[in-house]
Parts: sequence; C-alpha cells; structure tokens
Amino acid sequence: MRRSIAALQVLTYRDLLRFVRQRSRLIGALITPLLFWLLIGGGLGSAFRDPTGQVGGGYLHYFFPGMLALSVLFTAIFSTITVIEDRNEGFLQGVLVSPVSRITFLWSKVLAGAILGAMQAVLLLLAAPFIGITLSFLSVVQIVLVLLITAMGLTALGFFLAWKINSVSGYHSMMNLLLMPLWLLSGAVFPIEGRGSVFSVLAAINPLSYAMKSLRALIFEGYDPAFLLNTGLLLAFLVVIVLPTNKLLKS
Amino acid sequence: MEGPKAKQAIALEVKDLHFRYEKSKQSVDALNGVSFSCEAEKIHGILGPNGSGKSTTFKIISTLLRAQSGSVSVFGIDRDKQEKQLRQAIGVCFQSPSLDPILTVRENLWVQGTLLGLSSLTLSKEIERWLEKFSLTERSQDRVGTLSGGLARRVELIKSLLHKPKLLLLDEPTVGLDPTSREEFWKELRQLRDQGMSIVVTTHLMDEAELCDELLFMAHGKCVAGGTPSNLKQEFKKEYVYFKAEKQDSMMDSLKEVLNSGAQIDSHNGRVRIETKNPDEVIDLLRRDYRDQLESLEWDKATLGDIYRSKTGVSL
Repeated sequence: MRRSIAALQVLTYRDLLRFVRQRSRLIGALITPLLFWLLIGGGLGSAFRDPTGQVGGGYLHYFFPGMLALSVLFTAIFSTITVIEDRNEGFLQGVLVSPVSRITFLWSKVLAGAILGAMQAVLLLLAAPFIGITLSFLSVVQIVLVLLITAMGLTALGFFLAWKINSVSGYHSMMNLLLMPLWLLSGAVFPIEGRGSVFSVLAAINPLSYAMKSLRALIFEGYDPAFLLNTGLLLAFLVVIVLPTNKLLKS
Repeated sequence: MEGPKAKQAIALEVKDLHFRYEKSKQSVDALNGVSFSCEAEKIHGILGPNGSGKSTTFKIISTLLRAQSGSVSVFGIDRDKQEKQLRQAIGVCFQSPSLDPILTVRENLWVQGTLLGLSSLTLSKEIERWLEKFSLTERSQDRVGTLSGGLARRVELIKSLLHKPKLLLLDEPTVGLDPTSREEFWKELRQLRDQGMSIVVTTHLMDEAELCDELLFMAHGKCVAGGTPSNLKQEFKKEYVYFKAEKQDSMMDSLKEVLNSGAQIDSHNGRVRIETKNPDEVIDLLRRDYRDQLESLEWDKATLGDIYRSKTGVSL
C-alpha cells in the first residue's frame, strides 16, 4: 500500500511537472476558456435573455460557469493526451514492467487532471469580481469540489479512450466528438429549460449538466440546495467510467 | 547434488512459448514453441533478424505481453503466477527510449526508482552511485531530451539497475550508438556480469554476439541452435573460400559440377563464396584449373553470421 501511494504521488507529480514545463500548454489551457468567454459572452451580450431569470447580468454572466466547465474539459483532454505521449515516447513501457499496478497509473492521470483543472478554474474565478459576481469562501470551496470531481470523471473518460487509441489526432477527434456535445448540452452555453423533451432527456443523462446546475447555483445564488445530489451523481459518473477502465487495464 | 543451489544456477527458463497475433485478418505465428534456459551470472545473447521472434520473446519475459501457452520463470519465479515478484526481480532496458525527455536525468531515475519500490534514502544513494559510476553526475540536472544517444542509453541502463535486479534484460540496447559508445556500453555489461548479474541481451549484430558468453539463434519463431560462440564455430566445421574472377557466373556453374555435393556455392558481396569442409582441396582445385581466370583468392573461417545463415537459411 505504501509503495502504491508513493508511486501514485511520483506519477502525479511528474504530470504536474510536465505541465508546468510545457509553457504553451499552460498558456493555452488558461487563455482558451477566457477567450471563449470574452468573445462569445461579449458577442452575444445583451441579446441573450435567461428564461429562468437566474442571471441578471447578460450573457457574459450566464456563460461564466460554462467557461469554468470548459477549462475543466480542456484540461481533461490535454491531461489524457499524455497517455498517448507516454506510450509513443516509451515512458509507459517502464511503468508497465514495474511492480506498480496499472490502476495506479490511471489514478495518477485522474488526480493530475483534477488538480490542474481545479487550479485553472480557481485562477479563472479571479475574474468573477470584475463582472460583479461576489463569492463567499464556502461557495468557492464547493465550486472547486464540483470542478475537481467533474475533472476526475472527464479525465477518467479521456484515459479510457486514450488507452485504446494510438494517435493524438484520432484521440482529439474522438474527445471533441464526445465532450463538446456533453458541454453544449449541459446548459453551459444556452439554457436547456424550455427546449423540448429531447433536450431534457439528453440533459438528464449528461453528467456535465449536474456540474453546471451546481456551479450556476453556487455562483449566482451563493448556495446549491441540491449540492449533495449533484456531487453524488458526478461521483457516480466517475465510478461508472473507472470500473470499465480498470477492467480494460487488466486485459 | 540436485539441491536448491543447483536450481538457483538457472536464471531464466522458457518452456514451449507460443504466441500468435492477427495481422490484416490473418493469423501470424510469432513464436512456435520457444524453449531455452539461461545460466546465472553470464551474458546470454539472443540472435536473430527482425521477425525472428526475439523481441516477442523479450516482451513476454519482461511481462509486457502474455503468451498464449508456455511458461517463463526467472530464478524460479513464475511469470504468470507471480508477475509482481518477477517484475521486482528483473531490470528491463528497451530497444526504444523509455525516458521522459522533459524530465531531468535525476528526475527520470527518481520516478523509476519509486515505481520499483525503493525508499527515498536508498534511492538517493543508488542514484548517486550509478551516476558517478557512469560519469553522469555533471549531467544529472539536464533534461534527458538534451542528452546524446550514448548518454541517454546509459541513463536507460541505470534506470534498469536501480533496484539491483537478479536478471537484466536488454533489447537491442546499442541501436543508434556510435562504435565508441557501444564499446563502453559492453564494457559496463561485462563489469555487471563479473559482479554476479545475469544478463540476457537480444541483438542482430555479429560483433556483439561474439561478446556474449552463450548464444541462442532464433529464426521463424523458433530456437534453432545454441551454445558458446567458440563451440558454435567449432561444431560448424565448415570454412569459406572467396574468389573474384573474370567470368564468375560460368565458373560458378562449372565448379558446381566439379565440387562434391558438400560444398555450397553462391555470390556474396561481388565475390563467389564456397562453403566447404575441405578448403585446402578447393583452393588447390582453383589454383590448378582456374589460375588464369582468378583475380583474387581468399580463405576464411566461418563467422557467427555464416553459421546463422547456414542453420536458418536467413541472413542477419
């Protein structure tokens, strides 16, 4: 057990170190969601009207939680690309012939993805006061927790795909194909409410929509009455992804 | 006496390995019942060209692949039943790089040492010791991506030695190295052998095969011969006569009729090569009957490459 924890620590630390040393990755991960937010949020501006009446400050306000989710989504994609890089650069071979179990490798990627996602989101949260959003300390802690669990689930999903796909470009297309609809149908970009039954069903089975519900409530109302339910569903999503991934690693 | 000590002398035992994979919807037999054993404290070479099955065998021994049938044991540790223990007993150096180019030399070694279960204190000492031994202390803070091929290979070797493995597995370890680096690498391997380590190395290079204590020839997914390099040469009992002549093709045809069936004649690097048990007889014949046509005439003992080709029908 002690060995597994030490291995988990060192592999997670390695991923964080690689992220920091790849300056372009660092800049891209932070700037891209911010640009999306400013351009889309600013572009649609006052033309947007929230049917729920939850947000009063225009689209820049509405899109703020969506931007946080997008940063987590990008982090999940780029964190798990490293699985393919590790395989192509040969590093993975060394891990596979060591006494460490493959599940430790999976969790190191999940943890690194979650830490990076949460750190970026905290940095992006610093923009909140500039658009008139004030957050309590407790809200920030809860927001970070939601983002951490979401990042873990999405990174685990990315790991599952990366383990099976050999090329970075193939992986990119698959992740975009899978994750962008998840994001778009989560209420991050437009409200799902009042869009008809198909959208409602898709939102109900979309794990990211529970993260969005929680983030939106925490950011705009200061508390989420369904916090436990939403985080519980996100944890269930994580478990649903980790179980087949674990099986895949053992095969 | 066949006590536990006698058993301990076998470092690696491979029995009846079979491995099949699908390629373009066709089943390919990569290994067809590979069996061999390696004594401890020796350098064993597995010799064969690409596709002979040596790398697949290597991957199965190092636990990267699982054979469809057969068994592997390292110092009595069963590969399938005690995978974790076996991984602890082996050190693996792959043909392709397995270092993280973004991490420094020391960081790479630290990561691998931790995966191998070494405590911080032990790992720290081992890293220092090996870096010093391989003259890498000054480069320890450099990123691996900035190292030359030779230096990176040394780091790969250290990475596989940190936990003092009982058996060191090396897959074509000197690919891409210049002659000086290769010489140094082999010097280090011999030192490790002299200190009691058992080593298995795959190669397709003749000069490296000569440096092994024991050799195993592999071709078409099978083991075809084995022994020490000197024994293999002694047992072969054939030698080679090479000549160049004006009309080589017609001379080859005429010689095929004249010489007995034991001699093999073919073209090799622009010369005619005759494989024979009686080189003196062939030389006398050429000097007597073909003197006017000969441009050059040489005689040589069989190399390991010649023996390999003769036994497998495949050139290295």
